[in-house]
Amino acid sequence: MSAREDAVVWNRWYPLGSPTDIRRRNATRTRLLGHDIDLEIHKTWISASSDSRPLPVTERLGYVWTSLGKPDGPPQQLLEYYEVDRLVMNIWSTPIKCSGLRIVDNVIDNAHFPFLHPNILGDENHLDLVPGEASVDAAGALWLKSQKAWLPLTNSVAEYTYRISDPYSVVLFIHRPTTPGRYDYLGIFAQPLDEENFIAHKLLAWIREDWMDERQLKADQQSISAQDKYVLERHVHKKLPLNGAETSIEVDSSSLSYREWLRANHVTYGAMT
Amino acid sequence: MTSYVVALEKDVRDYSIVRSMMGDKPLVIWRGASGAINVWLDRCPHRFVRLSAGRNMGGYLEGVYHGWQFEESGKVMLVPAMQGRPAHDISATVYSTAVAGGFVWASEEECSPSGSAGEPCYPVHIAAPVDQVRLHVDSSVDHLTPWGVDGSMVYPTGDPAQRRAELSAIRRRLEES
Repeated sequence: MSAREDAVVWNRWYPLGSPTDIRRRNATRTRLLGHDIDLEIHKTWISASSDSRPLPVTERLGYVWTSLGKPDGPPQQLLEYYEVDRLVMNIWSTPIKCSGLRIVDNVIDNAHFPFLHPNILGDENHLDLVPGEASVDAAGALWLKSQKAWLPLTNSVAEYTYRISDPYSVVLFIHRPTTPGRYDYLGIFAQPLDEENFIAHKLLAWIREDWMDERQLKADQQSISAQDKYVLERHVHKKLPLNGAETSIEVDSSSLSYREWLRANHVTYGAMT
Repeated sequence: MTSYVVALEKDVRDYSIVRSMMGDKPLVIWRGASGAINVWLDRCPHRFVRLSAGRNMGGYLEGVYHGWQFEESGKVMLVPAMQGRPAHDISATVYSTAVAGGFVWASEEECSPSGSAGEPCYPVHIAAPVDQVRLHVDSSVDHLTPWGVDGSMVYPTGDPAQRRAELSAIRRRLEES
């Protein structure tokens, strides 16, 4: 199908990459929703066009964002990203061969941690999961609050909250036991190249602490993403099934809430309906 | 009542997984601890990940994504996230199988090698152990994985230095492509 037929997906902002990477690689061509995008790198900004049609461009959260349609309002906000005591970076922008909806489904799923990320995000001796509560806020964003899972890195149970304000992106709030009310953030923003290919842009915005080593942190996060890439590309269907063909169990509640939210928003691009 | 040759018997070794096709259906073929050969649809009923991306543990096949364990009959015998609570009655799609003349035969109905009328479909390029599958056959995935180039599923070592080296190789390749 053409992305134009899916107004919800068409009229959204999508990241095209971090300006640093675009400049370093002199990347002047990319794709979005099945359309070629030309980038022009100016001294102080980057402009985008599709078939000579200029597109709106804005820089936010360390990425260049654009839209092919008519978005109502700016790209999603994460004001905490700009707090002075945070370490922020683009972990990487990597191409993955499946629908971008699948990575959101992967991020909100805690049950795979012990198997795909053994001894990093989970281990087989601590399989207890506390599913979170799903709610939709006034702006239409889906929230999955307070999911709990064992985190071997800290040797304790970690608490996660997810915000899905766009079909193709998710922001993870990692609760901080030492400073309640503040969170460490991970943002995963998919740039759908077409229905079965996307680029995953992964953002990190954590409160800086003494132990943090930027290179190490980046390598660890990339390692986790590479493990996810392995399984994401090995789904039999590249698109996310919204037709109920999958078998789900009770611990899949987040995954089911996301599918329900996509159905309620009539998202069909990148989905099997 | 068509049966198909889907693999050579000698290719289906203990503790390894073979991929094949029957028509347009992807197959996962594995030999269990009992010595019997199982031919299933290569699709986990849970989130539709290929079962062939998982591991043959002898007594059961383990899914790569959530660690579900499938016994030889195809039924799910353990869902780790359920903590021993009874899982629902979930099963992989199992095909009827027979071994004859060094070939593994399979059919969607009752498998009978002798009475087969159909053309044997033995996709030589695919019916080989996963670690020998030619890279170009499967263009739908990136064969460079965090655990090296394709290969059977090997879990990460956890050694940060090695992980970094693997990742820089991946990054270099992604930037070149």
